[in-house]
Amino acid sequence: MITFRCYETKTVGIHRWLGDQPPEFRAEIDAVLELIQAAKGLDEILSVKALRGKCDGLTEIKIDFSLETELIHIRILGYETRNSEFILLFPFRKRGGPDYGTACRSAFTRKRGVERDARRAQPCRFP
Amino acid sequence: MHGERSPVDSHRLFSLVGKMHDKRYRDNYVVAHTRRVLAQQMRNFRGELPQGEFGELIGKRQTVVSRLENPNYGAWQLRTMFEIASKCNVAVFVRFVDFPTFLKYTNDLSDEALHPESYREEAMDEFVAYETAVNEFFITSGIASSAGLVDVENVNDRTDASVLSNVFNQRNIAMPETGNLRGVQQIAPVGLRSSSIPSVTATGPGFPLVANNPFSIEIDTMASGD
Repeated sequence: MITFRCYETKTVGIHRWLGDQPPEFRAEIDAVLELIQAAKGLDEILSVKALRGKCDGLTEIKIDFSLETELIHIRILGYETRNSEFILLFPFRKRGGPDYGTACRSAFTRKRGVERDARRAQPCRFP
Repeated sequence: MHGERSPVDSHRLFSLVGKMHDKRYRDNYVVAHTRRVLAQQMRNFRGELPQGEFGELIGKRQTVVSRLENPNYGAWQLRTMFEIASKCNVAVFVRFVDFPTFLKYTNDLSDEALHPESYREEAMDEFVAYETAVNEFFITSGIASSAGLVDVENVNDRTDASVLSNVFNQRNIAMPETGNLRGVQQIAPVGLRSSSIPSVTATGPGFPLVANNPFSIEIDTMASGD
């Protein structure tokens, strides 16, 4: 079983971002994260991928789906810790190419914040 | 899990019930959950085999295997499902259901549920033995079963582990290690619509039922949902 922890502060965080998304997005995200939660390891999950290059050290959760005629690409950047924990750091909607530069910088900033103060990533469950 | 009935995850249940007030959410959750579970099952069936080799086993091209493993693929055909089920020697279960039933039957995302066991005679025999013994337990202990062995309604607390033990012993079936009966806050679909309706959920790895398997019968006189 994978245990999630969600980056949250008073102003930004996973749940605040989720709350701003349309219900169709939230449903899709819940379904993906629920499957990951139930898995023994991330390697067996289709929608999880370790990143390289500038984003090395982060893992992305890929949530792709069609809504009417539009293709939606959601990404949640995070990292795995010992004890089968996965820290959800930075969610975003991918609209362009494969360059995650800005998103990865934000995720790394948050990761450092969590490493300094673990309370910034609170246990969370989906759905 | 070979048919194990897991107690409904109450966190998931309450969370989803709240979110499903929104029709757009619930419609999309049904689609997303179903699509992604099917893709994961397809991936699990393949195991370590390359897509091409697995495709040969199930009579599909590699491109088709790839498509069926794509969690974003939403154009499954019943015919394809039946063909793959036949090749993998598993069953397919598709029907329209109400939302409480959907919540209940989508609760199990265990490895066993996502990679169902191929048909096995012994598993069928063990299933029958287990169901018969548990059913006898309910009858012996005065519990009326109106819907098989799960979601038994109109339950009282006249249950006794020793009765269960006797039933299993008489049938020469391996007795569960603990045979424990414990009260839990168990939610049955019917409980979402009315309060104070007791429910019983029987759980146990059970299938196959072998010695040393942990086992529990969870019984609750439920009062929740409103």
